[in-house]
Amino acid sequence: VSTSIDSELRAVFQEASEFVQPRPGLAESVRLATRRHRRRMAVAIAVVLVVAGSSYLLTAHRQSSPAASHDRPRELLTLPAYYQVQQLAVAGPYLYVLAGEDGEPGSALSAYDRATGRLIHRVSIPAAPSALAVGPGGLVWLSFYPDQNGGPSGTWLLSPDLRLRSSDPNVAQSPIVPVSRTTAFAVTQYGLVTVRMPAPGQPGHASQQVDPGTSIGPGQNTAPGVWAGMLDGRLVAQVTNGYGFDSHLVIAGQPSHTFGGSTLYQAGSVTSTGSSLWVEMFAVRNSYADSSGPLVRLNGQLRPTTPESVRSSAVLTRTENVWSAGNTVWAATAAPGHSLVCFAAGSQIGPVTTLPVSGQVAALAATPDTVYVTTTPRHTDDNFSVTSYPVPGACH
Amino acid sequence: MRAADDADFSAFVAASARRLLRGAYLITGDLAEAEDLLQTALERAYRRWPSIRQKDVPEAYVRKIIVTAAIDAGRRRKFSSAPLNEEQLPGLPDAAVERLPGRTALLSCVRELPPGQRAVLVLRYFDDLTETETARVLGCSVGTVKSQHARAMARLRALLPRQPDGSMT
Repeated sequence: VSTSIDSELRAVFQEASEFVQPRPGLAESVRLATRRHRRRMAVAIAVVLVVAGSSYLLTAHRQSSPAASHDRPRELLTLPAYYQVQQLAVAGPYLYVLAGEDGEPGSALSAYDRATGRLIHRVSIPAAPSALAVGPGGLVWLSFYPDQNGGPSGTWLLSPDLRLRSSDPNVAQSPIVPVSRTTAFAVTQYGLVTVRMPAPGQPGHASQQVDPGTSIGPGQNTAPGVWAGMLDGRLVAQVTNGYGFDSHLVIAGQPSHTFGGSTLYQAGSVTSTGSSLWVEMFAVRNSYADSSGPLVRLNGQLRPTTPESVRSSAVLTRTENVWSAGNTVWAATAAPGHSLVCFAAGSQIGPVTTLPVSGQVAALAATPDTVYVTTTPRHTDDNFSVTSYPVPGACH
Repeated sequence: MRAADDADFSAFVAASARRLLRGAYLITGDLAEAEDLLQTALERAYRRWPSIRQKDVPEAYVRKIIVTAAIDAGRRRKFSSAPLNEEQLPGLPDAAVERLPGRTALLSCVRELPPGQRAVLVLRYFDDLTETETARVLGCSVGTVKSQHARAMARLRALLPRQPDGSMT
């Protein structure tokens, strides 16, 4: 069936757009518009300079303002123009921003001081990133492989400030689950692979070893690479078949323990709080153009144990993405006015609390005290930025 | 901008504009909107043309701007978009029109998808990009492309009307 849809999609896209022709004189029209834009920018910059100068003169005699309060949202940093945030991560004093530059090959991983927003170090990644994870000791695991512009495959283990690294050339992993300072599990269609890297800055070669007895299901048509994490000390992977269908969760080494994947519900975004998984599900019978779905909690056997307060939440039934930090669960939702919510998910489930975030959440990283959020800019020309919010007390 | 760059930009537009516009139209379902997106993306590319040209990836650059803007625009009018129908497919050759009933159904189903999922399908099946290339255009991880693709295909399977013999149109 999938092959049939594949070929039908190719045909229908060709036919449906066959009549489309660009306007004559397009290149010249672009040039004219660009000249108009530059004239407008020159005027705007002049106005800004005048206003800024006036403001400076008015405020120069005042004392410098106190440091920004940490009990309210704060725009922590703005990325350079044309950078699009792909993922955020936080560990120790650092906020990591994985971002690609519009139209440029590769991506960049930057470490910022998460208290001040100051850039500590940035490394260029020579190809498309496939996995980013921060492990024990704050060491940063990164994998990449070729995109449309070519480039190499590889896996790096970087020091927390990104200044030192060791590398395993030619092999990219996706996803990676660090288990010690220099060891991580990677998920392949044959089961888990243990990857051992030299410490950052140290010479030497990486080693990889397939772990027997860690099957994630039938090898044929199984495509890992979406998510993996620890649940009750065991590794759980999100896998699909070779066509991208059948997204389900499976305990490595116990391939009969699965959840999701039927036509009624498939696993979307996933996060682990240690002894539970929180999974955003999507029903394939839903004929509405809505990419959100209900949030469910799974126990160590991948059985649903969703609390009633979560199941009955009108906001959480429209979950788009889910993250966690400690016992706090974060959900980006499609519910109007509730772009980002959180709740405590310890022994007691806390009330669902909405943060004052507007726009669609593009990436998030959290500590127990602070959450760092990037939203998709409203205008294509706007720069991406990261805003920090204190975690509401009700979500602890 | 140097005359050579200008000439090079014109050559790029002549060679790539139609393909880019077709992709934009397939994602938005609205030719006027697709034309606006292409114009805006080309303006941005023109402003940085010497640098983009040096990197030799101008089409990827422009496609990325178009797709990002198309998805943003689609999200803003998520609940007001209408399915594409035959009247929005002018100029199809006769042979294509004969196949339209089944394919119109498929196209209508594609239009029911969220803009992000629709973009994944267009990039994969019209632009023939790999999952990695699609992730680069969308500025997301390969895992996100896989899950978006899975959702899109699953929803298409659910939406497509079935023939009496159980096959899909």
